[in-house]
Amino acid sequence: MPRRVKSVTANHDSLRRALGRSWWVLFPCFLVLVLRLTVERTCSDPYDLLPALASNPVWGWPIAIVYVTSHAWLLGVYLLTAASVDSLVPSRVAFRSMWRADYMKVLLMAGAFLLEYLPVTIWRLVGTALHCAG
Amino acid sequence: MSDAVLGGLEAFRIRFAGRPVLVFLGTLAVLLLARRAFTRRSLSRNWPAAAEMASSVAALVSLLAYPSIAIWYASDPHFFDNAEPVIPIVGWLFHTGSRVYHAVDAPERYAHIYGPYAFMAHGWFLGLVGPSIRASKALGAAVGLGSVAITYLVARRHARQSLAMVLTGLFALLLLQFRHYSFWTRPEPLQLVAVSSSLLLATMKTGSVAAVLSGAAMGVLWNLKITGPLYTLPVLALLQRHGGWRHSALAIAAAVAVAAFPFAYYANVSWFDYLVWLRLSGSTGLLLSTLRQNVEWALYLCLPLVISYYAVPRSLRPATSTWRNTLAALALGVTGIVIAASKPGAGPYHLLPFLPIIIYIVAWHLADLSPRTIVDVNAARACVAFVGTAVLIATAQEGQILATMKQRGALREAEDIVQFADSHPGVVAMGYGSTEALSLERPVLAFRYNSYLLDQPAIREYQLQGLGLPGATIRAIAECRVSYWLIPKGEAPFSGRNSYAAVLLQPLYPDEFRHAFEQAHSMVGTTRYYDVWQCHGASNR
Repeated sequence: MPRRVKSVTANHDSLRRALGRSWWVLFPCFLVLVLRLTVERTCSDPYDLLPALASNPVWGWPIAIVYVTSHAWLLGVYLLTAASVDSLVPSRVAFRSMWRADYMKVLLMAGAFLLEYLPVTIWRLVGTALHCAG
Repeated sequence: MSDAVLGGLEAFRIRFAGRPVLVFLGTLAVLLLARRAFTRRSLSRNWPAAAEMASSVAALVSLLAYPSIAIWYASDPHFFDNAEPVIPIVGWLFHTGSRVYHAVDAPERYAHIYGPYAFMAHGWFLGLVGPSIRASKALGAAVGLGSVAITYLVARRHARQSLAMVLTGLFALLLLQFRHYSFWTRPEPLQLVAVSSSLLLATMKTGSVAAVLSGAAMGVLWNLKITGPLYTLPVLALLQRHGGWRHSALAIAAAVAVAAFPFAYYANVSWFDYLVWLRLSGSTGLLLSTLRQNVEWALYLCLPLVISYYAVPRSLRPATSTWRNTLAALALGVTGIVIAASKPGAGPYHLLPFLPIIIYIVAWHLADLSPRTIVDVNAARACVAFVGTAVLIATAQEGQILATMKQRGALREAEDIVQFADSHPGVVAMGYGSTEALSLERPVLAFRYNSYLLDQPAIREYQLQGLGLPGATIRAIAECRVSYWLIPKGEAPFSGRNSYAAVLLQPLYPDEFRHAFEQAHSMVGTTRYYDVWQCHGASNR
């Protein structure tokens, strides 16, 4: 294997391992945050989320870091997979073969993102059904 | 443009202009369905051609539209946004020797957290050509147009002429998605020109001089907003790879010198007071809804990097450590800005200064791309959807400007204000009612009397920071520092309410202030647009 290709593969492997390990810290924090935001969108003001926490810099900045880093994590997963198959739109098979044992981590994180990006209208309807929408 | 079309665009803007990734995915889905329905067989062959056609046409139209809109906006002596007037006003005050950042307990209420160059540029220019709203707007437009021209030169570092033109056109299109933010009076046009200049100079092969000049441009950027250094990370990465640590050190030294210059040289630019206002502003935390919007915009604006990377064959793609470091520095900078721009009142437009850098990297990716050789069909599809999204959002945003400025352009407040001021002795100032549109011409009075007591956008920010109006301000009102206040006709004086979520609908002016105003003033007449409140002094009543 040429030296450059070898070093790129080694880089990708170490990045893949780093993403796999960081998931254990990032995912629980992100999931808790997303669930809390979902409750907020369902039952409170969907456009002023967690006002008491977010307006306090002691809480606001760490929350922002978790939120943005989780996006960066998923973006990293996509970019590594796309690079491995040299395609802008890697198939599900490509994700599965790239992430092997860590594939479930990718799916769980993607699930959390799905929850986060569902339209607010849906949560408002749920809130109305649960009689908690403010 | 008919009212129905403008209404439709406005409805689209309100609902989708803040969701570019969603619009991109929607556009992609629509395109795929449409193409599948009509040209099933030639689909894979036509996508690259469609991508080139869409990019070229959109770029050409944007290259015509951007200067037209910028010049048209600059030629109208009305502002669109209520945060615009304070920049030329404070710039002019700087020119006349007043303080750019007043003390926290001073009677004046106009200090903002922009760095001094944001104001000084206007001060210098207005000092040169004479103070007027048109002159301050012309500066914004000229600088915005300058950034487009420099971005073309930046793209030319890697791309051939025709490709550089297309990329410059797409840059203009991306700018138009942010309404008039790239050519208004606030710091964004200056940021764009500073970042594109520093990038152009950093990629020159003329050695230390270019590094120092690039650093000087970075210094302007660092000074314009406190987040400035984050925008320069990719430029520093390029400098380091081109000229080693020596060039980087030279550039950083020049940047520090240029950024520190206003504080060190001018007695009316106080570093201490600037820091006080920054610290107060940092205490407001952030808005999670704005954070999500920033993340989405950052992903959308970085899409061209991924699309252009996969648009060329693997053998033609850059893979040097310079390229990797530049991308890593860009990612770091974008991440920092996404978080910092989640403060109340900020937003995705803080990502604007990254656009020249993104265009530069896209030109780098496409440097060896020959016409009709996009290899990945998915990249071509994504390119069409990206351009389509940009066109949709830009059209909706410019539609809003067009509709609003059409209404404002019909008003003649400046003549009304000047006519009143000419016929009355003493200081005349613009006051505020429950709305703000009619108070946007306040620079006319600030230029005339070289004074400015109350800036409502600043007061709104201070309230968010928990800072009330100090006793000195109330005393200044009661003691007739201003002889006549012009209040928008039919509105109760100083009856505005805050629009920030954390302090939503709280009165901007406390009862004590309004009481002092009512005690010391009475309405003595009206002009075409304003009620005139004259100060008699509390003790005379």
